[in-house]
Amino acid sequence: MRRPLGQATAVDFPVVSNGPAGSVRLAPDVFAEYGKVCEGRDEISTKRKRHFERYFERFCATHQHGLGPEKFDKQGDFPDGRGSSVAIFAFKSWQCRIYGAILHLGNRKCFIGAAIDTSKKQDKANQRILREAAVAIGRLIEHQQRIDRR
Amino acid sequence: MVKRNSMFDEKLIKAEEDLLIDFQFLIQDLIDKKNVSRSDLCRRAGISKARLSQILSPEANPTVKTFARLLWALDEKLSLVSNPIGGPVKSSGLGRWIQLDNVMPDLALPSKASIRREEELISAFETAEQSANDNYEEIETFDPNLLYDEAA
Repeated sequence: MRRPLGQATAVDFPVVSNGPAGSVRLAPDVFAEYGKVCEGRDEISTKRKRHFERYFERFCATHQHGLGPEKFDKQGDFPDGRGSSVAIFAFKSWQCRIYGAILHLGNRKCFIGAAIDTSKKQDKANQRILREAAVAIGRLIEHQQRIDRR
Repeated sequence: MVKRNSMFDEKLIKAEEDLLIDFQFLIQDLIDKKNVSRSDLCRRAGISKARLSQILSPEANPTVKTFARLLWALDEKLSLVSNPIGGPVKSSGLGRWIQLDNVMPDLALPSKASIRREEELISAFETAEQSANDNYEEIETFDPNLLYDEAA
């Protein structure tokens, strides 16, 4: 059962990496799926996990992460379901993509992983998953705004 | 071709991937620091853009000679320094055992003073991280006006 992001805030999300310049957090269902595809006792899972770990570390270490489009790339701007649009980025490793947006938490950047595609065979992203990720980020922001207004 | 031991060895796989990633980060850093376009780099190295993209992808397994070719095209040359596994690492924070002959200050192996500085920074960061963790509930609020567009 997918938990709607609109009922969660960033503090509910597990931190998978943290550094001087920022952090990486994954929505609970994305985190669960990430665990499944990275924790296997096989060669591909181990490689996939190691690449993601190193990319996350580097993203969190500096503002100019210098990962290159093969590892981290903007997928485009997508409607967030609130009349605005959100830039969706992807971390890429071994036929797996983690889609999300970069938000500011405090004075630091934070990548919020809102969707994951574990069946990535081609470089072309699944547009439906990208749109869903943008809407999920929109719900997250909207919910946080409601909390902040209280 | 390396014949892989049938026994799954997580540490060995990580060691292989770490070296690949260090090389890839090094090439990407040089491209960024020297402000070289990928087209220019590919022309100088005599490879296609698609091949460069493949070399820098997670699934890559390029040869040492391919990396030497790219470094040559970037007017760089490597010296390698090994460190015992589990022992102290002479680190610049980038390639952990990579030293460039054509020295760029933050890519070269560090002096003792810079290692001390790095250790102080790590210590300061750990303290700040602990403090941030202690105060997460207070600092973590979303401000949609501060949406960060990396590509902008």
